[in-house]
Amino acid sequence: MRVVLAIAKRFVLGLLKDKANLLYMVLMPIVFTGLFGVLPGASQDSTVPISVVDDDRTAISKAFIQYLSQDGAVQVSQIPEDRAARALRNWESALVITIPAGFQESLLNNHPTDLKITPSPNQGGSTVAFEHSLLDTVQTWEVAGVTEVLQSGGRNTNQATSTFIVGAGHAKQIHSLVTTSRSVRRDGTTLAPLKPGQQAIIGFATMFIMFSVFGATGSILEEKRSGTWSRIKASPAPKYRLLAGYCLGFFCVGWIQFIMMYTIGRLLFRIDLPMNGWVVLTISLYVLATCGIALCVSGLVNTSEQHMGIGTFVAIATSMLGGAYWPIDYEPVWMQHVAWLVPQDWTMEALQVIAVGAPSTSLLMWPLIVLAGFAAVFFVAGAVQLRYA
Amino acid sequence: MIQIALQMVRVNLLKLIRDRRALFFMIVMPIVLTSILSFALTSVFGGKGVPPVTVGIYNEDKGPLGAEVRAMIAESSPSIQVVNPANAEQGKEQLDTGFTDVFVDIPEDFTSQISSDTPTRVSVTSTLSTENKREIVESIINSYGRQTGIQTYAGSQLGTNSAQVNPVRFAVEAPGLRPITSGSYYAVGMMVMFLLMTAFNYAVIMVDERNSDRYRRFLASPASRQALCFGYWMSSSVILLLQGVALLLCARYILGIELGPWYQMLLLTLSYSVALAGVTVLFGTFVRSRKVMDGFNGVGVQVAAALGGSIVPLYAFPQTLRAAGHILPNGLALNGLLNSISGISMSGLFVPVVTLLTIGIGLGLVSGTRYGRTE
Repeated sequence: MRVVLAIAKRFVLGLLKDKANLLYMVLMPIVFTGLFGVLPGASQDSTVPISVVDDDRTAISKAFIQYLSQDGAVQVSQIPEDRAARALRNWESALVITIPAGFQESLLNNHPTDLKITPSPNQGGSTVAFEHSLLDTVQTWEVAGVTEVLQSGGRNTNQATSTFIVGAGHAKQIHSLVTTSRSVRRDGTTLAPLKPGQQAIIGFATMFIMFSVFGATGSILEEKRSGTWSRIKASPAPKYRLLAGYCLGFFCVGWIQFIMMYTIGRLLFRIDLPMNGWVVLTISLYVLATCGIALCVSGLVNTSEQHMGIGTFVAIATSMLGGAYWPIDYEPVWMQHVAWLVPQDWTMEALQVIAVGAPSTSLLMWPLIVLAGFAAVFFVAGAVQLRYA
Repeated sequence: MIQIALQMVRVNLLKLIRDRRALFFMIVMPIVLTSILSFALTSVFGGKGVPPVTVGIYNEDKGPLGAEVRAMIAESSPSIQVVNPANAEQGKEQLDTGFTDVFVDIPEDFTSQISSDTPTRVSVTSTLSTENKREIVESIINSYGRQTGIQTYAGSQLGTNSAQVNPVRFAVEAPGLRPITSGSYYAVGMMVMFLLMTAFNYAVIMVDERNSDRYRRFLASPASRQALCFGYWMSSSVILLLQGVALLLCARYILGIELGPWYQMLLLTLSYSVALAGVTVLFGTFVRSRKVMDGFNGVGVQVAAALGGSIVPLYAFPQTLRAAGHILPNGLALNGLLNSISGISMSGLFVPVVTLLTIGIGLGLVSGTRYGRTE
């Protein structure tokens, strides 16, 4: 056992003493989680940008623009008409609203009024909902103003304009009469949805574990090149102990990366993940599976650079496929089925169930069985390959 | 000087052609990633409407408003299909078995609560893998809630005259621009990112060479320092241009992705290659330590690629980060390429092309004056 622990300790300490390794294990997860996971969903500064072209240029059209500017969901910029195409093309605006000439007159006389909207051609399906929400916001303002004018009866245009603007100021009194309560289901159990940011931490944890394990297993190739590997093999210690020492070292590196991601999420981004026996079991199986995959790849290449190159490719491609970068339901159904072939998909599924606070044998049985299968097949294949290397 | 540069281009090209591993990472890897991203994020980009959603709605409401919500969900998009489970248990079962993506349970007192101007709550359930679809359904129900609130307010203010109010409507107009699909976005996004990686790899090679005997032999040769630097600049430009063109051709003819007009794409790829060649010789000239260069090559390239919008589209970032993305050469090139795809005149590309060429030539000149003198 002392041989096993000595090899594992030498391996892990050697890795951690290298400042470049620490940089990659800490800085890259912070950058990725921040840029792709946390910032896009941050509450501040995440309003939808829209542009407004004012062809009416009246008191009411100005009041309308001011009202939109105060709405927390959008960020309004007023532009001339000839800049509309540029705003849409350059991803500056999700849509352009054109206030037509005669807008004020039409509203004061309660005539049917159309606002021209030009949505960006780059809007995806989910952002179409934004148009509905914006229309509700506009109608709330307009109905508040029109009811005030209708209530006050016929007066001259100036008075009606003032009345409309005062009335529209009451728009905040209009409230939605239907709200929704969200829940998710899994195998007959109703659960609370994931909290913001949890998906990112879980996804990037699986990806960076794979990066780190590939980096660690690649060092065997360096040891082969420098002759250390041959000297260790020539030592009197039994080969299975040497193998166990290396495998324990790789396993520890995977776990160290997970603990770093967990700590970064908790301390830096205030994103909590539970830490319990289920998490330990899931991550352990995932790390074993990843070690196995990395060891198998190390048998196919000659240099640590080749190994890391293929590792980066495998880690990024399988993480994208497995839903580490985005929710998996963004992907078409056939691709979600292809994702069953990568361990990230099952690890994320298990960690998501644990994160929503409802781990149980029935809910986690399948992900853990499949992960155990991945671990058994790849780890045994990798260890055998290492044994005969 | 030109002859030396051309010799260096020839040597570097021959080295590249013989290095199958390098070719794999320069061509195969970006194409595989482009195809994954292209298929995976189809629903997030333009050109596609609402993704197909099957919604199970159990309406327990005794009044007419529950049926109104159901009708609104069913009619909001042809992609949304509504099924009617016999009870809530069956609705949840349909969700568990994957027959539906989302289950909506409209409560018994829905109409009576709304009629008494009291907010009511509708339960919307999804699975862990259909949360995106649940948000679409939620947005429709929330819109119904706001519309009901508006009607109730008008009714309370005007009584029976509330029907006189004509709500504003949106008249949707097509923008006259070609939509950027996930395929076209990531074809150019990955091209821009992998060219950046290649540029930094060549900077690493330059730093390695400066720490080797080869560099001293170079300096001892009759070739001027400027000629050697120009040779590196030229080699990087040519290799980056060839890589960029190869990636765009693969995207167009292997993956069948629609891109912009060929002359605009070529011009932008050329200017971007020149800009990156400037970056290569700048780092290759001024950075002395391999470790520092490895740091730039690893973390720096990833951060620059991310800020430039190659991995997640810039519009998903907060405003402050978007500005940073537009300053970087890769962000500038990506933006120009996207503009070309969505349809832009040649004059519209003047600013990015001139800026990129200026960066490339300027950095090349600065490096040329210092190459060989920084030891």
